[in-house]
Amino acid sequence: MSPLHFIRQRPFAVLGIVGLLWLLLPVAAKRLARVSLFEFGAPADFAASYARDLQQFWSLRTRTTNELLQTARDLANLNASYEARIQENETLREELHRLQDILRLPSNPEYRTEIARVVRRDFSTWSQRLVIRKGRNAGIPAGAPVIFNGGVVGRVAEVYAYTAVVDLLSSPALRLAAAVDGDSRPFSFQGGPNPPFTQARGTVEFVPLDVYASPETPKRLVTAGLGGVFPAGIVIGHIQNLELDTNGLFKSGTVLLDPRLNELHEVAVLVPLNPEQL
Amino acid sequence: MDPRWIVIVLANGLLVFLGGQLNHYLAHLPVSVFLLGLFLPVAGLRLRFRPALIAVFLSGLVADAARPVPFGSSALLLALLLTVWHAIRSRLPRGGVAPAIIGALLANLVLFFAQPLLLGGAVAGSATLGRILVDFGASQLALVLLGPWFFALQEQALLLMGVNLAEEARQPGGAL
Repeated sequence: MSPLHFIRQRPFAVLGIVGLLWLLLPVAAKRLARVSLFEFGAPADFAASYARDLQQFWSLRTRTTNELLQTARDLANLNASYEARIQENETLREELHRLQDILRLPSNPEYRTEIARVVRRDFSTWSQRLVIRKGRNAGIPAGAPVIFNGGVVGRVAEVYAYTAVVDLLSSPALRLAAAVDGDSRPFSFQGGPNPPFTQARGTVEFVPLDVYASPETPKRLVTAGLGGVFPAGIVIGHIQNLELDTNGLFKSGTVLLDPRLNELHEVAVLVPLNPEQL
Repeated sequence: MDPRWIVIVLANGLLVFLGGQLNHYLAHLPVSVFLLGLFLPVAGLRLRFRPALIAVFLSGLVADAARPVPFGSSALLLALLLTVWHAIRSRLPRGGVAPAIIGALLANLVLFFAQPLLLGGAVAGSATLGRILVDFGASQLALVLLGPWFFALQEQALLLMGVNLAEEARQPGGAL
């Protein structure tokens, strides 16, 4: 029997053989195929991303001179306030280093910031990811924290030559140590669930019993700084409610995340100066 | 080399890209569409089994490369659906766009609800029922709207490569 005749007569047998061959294929070959196919499709996403940037540029060109002058004035005010904060931060950093030296405490992890444009938002039913326009070319490692001016964005999940995939804070795949602002006791945060037509959410677990939150008096949730990935004190969201767990030892509840997470255009990747931190 | 599967894979690659762009803009809501069901109708209804299987399997790998599922899982699922479709296609109506759209809707239903199994338990349980229903409804609607254009695109692309599917289907051993 010729192979063509066999294929025509026994499609299920052929399917079984294909499935078996795929399962027996070495993981390295599958990994190579996946990376190759992702890199093959990346230029198309890049082109679309640059086209959006160009579109934005031309739309900004339609603004009047008065509008631009007003924006420049606002930016100048903002820059002045940031200058003051930078100086304040420098003073605090020096103070911190001095105290760490005196008390012989381990120093906090240090990062450099890599700004990256968002190429594509991929918020499917079960996963929330971003593709950003920087990857190995900018020295971004897998696991690096990603932030924006509203707080945590997520964590780098996969790194390619010129792009990286970020697991968003609202993704169920992302779990991190969190704490209520002003309280050092850590507990667990996990992204999701994400209902439609509203802002993203997360859940907190193992919250101490004496922490209270309600929609009227939400608690600001920040990173705890444990685990060595995220620096401490970066905003995650606001705890809307807390309820006693069935075991009665801890509380769990819902966290509302920043609505701007759904429309990010630019993010900052915190690349650790010491790669062993991740 | 057989141009059939190459054309189908490239067309499906274009669909993956366009679907990604659509989801990029829908992320504001946030709602997403899932269009993998559109990979099957032309391959399942018009092509012979071998080029159809190659086309669908490779298209599944292209789709899997950008998704957080085990690589190859959608490809195997698509190959299974294609084989089932191929086995029963002689008993199904195949003229016009309607059978292709209905087939794509059914395939999309199976593929969409198989996603939680591919992603694993912890992630699968994280979606709300409202989000699942809205995303599924939006996906099926997008599929009905995009389907006729996409099937015509595939057939025209094959014609450009010198492959006339309508004629082939009427030949002995063809789809019709």
